[in-house]
Amino acid sequence: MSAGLSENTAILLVEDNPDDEELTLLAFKNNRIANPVYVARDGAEALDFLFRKGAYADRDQKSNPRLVLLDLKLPKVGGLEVLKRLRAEPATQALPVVVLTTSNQDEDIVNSYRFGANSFIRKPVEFGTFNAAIRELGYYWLLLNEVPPAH
Amino acid sequence: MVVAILQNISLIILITMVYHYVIRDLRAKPITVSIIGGLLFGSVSVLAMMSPVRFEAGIIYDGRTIILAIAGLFGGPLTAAIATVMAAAFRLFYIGGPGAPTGATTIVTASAVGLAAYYWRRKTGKELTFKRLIAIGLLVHIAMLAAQLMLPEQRWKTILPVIALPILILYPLAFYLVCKLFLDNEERARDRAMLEESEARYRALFQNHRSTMLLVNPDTGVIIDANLEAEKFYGWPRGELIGKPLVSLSASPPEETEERIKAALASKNASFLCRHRLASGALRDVDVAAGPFVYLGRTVLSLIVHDATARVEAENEVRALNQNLERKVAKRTQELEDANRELESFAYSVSHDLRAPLRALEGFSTLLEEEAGSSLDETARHYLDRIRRNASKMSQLIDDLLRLSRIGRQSLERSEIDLSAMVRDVAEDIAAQYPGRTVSMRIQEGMTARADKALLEVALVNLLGNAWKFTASVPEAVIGFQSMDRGGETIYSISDNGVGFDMAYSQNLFTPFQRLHDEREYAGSGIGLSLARRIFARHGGRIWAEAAPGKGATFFFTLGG
Repeated sequence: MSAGLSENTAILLVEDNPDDEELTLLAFKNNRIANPVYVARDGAEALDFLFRKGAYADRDQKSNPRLVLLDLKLPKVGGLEVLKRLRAEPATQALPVVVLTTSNQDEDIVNSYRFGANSFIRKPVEFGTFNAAIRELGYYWLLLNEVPPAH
Repeated sequence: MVVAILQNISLIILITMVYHYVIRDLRAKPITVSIIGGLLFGSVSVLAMMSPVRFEAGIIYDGRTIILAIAGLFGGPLTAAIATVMAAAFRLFYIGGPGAPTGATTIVTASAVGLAAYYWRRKTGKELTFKRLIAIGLLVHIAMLAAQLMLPEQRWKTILPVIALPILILYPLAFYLVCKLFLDNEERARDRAMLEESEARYRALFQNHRSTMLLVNPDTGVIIDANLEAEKFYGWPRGELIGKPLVSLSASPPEETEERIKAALASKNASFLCRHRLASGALRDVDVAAGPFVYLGRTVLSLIVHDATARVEAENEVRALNQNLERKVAKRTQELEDANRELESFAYSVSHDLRAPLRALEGFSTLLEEEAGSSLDETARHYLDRIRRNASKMSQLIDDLLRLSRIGRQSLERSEIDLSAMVRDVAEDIAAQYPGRTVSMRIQEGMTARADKALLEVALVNLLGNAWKFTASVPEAVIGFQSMDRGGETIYSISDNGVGFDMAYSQNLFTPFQRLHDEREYAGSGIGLSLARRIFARHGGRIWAEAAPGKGATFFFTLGG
């Protein structure tokens, strides 16, 4: 991931629940967010994808994400652990990460920010509200937000 | 002549010393002592008269006045009488001569002065000081010189100038010295009597004392005395206890006992707990108080032994109970901690895992309606709507349940709260949610409370929210908030003139998800009052209600310490 973030367009969705995955993808579609979306179904896969290891060793640089949507409760490696590790790597240190999760337990919010999350959003139960949240989120992080240039 | 008188006096002193060794060392009845004393004083007077200063035939000077005065002063009437009769008889009939009447008179006056002093001393109890003894001595010898006037042919004219000065100087002094010997002797006798008495008292005390007592020779460690209680306690007769080494009583190693004997002798008092073996072979826990003790002039080790078996057993029992209790408390604490952790992870799962399926339910039924809405008939769309509403409601229930469980785990932070202001703020917020309604709020001014601000606010939001909700059908809604003092406790109350409820159902009022009113008419999950109750309980307070259907409701609460 040596290329600058500004050139990236992809979204990495880290989500183990197929229902939530489908709903999120539908929300992207509803809101005409056409950026390429990659889905990692557990924490280990997310790390492999980000660091181009394992199954993703030969991944094209062009699929480097501009935004990570991260669930916390994940199989294998938890969301907080993923966050900690990607903040430890220079290449992914500045990568925007939005924690998108079902829980709104105080300790989850506190820990997410402590480990370097850029935002914390609780998935609303109502699809209408969820849809609106995804719209705002895409608009802010993919259009408004400026990322560091390539070095 | 002076030398002769001095010789005479020395003789007297020697003789009187013999007297008090003989008399005082005999333990006899007072009357016997008086008689023997009289005979001795009489004999000594006779002896004195047998080695006199001879002035001329029949006129002699000797120490008899001193002896007889002392017989009176220390011996009392009987002794004085016997001595006087013996001496006077010897002077009158054995020696005789021209000085006989004078000599006999001298004898009588000396013993009379001594006896007078004896009575004076008994009556006043005054001490015989140097000055007083010299005064008595002078009186005796002035009388003696006066008796010289009785000598025939006025011989006093030639005799008195020669003898007056030496007699008035030397005789009172000699009298004083001899008296001093008697006084010292008296004092020694008194001391010895006291010592004997105290020893007898001590023996009685030791023998009959209710504590077990032993005396131990500190050099050999052997028991040298034991009292009656010791016989009873150990079960050996005194004769067997005496002579036993102390270490043979103790169940501890001998070195330890020896160490303790040493320590007890070094310090004034030492006390320790150990085990003693009885004659029966039984073992007893005993408290031993040990210390050095001077007995018949030498230092021995005294031991006072108390049976502590019952106490030690009770202590052991208490210790065992305590340990048991501690174990139980630790176990319960562990159980509670486990339960709490379980609850914590339960709450976490609820918030994660139970909500995700709801989201899918809600999401996909929404999408279904969007995608196929036009091809569905009214009934099918109604069913879809029911599914979505219930998913939303369940989501709300889960949130409420989590809030309820969080209150119990959250820490309580009390601060001083302007309650009147807080109620006003909450009421304003609620009023904003019901724009079409007019409610008249009557809030007592100046109410304060010491409570957790955030929790109290949650409780007030629920209580005032209820008051608002249940006055919706009343044309002129009135909600009051006030406090009163009942026996030092502040009771707050929120009253309304709304629909009220039947007190018969009031036991379900504070149970989670229990409702008294129709959900279609009055919305809500049924968690508000149980939240409020939990909040007041966390404060050490309580909540209760009074109501009647159609007559409004009043909720009372307290906030504890």
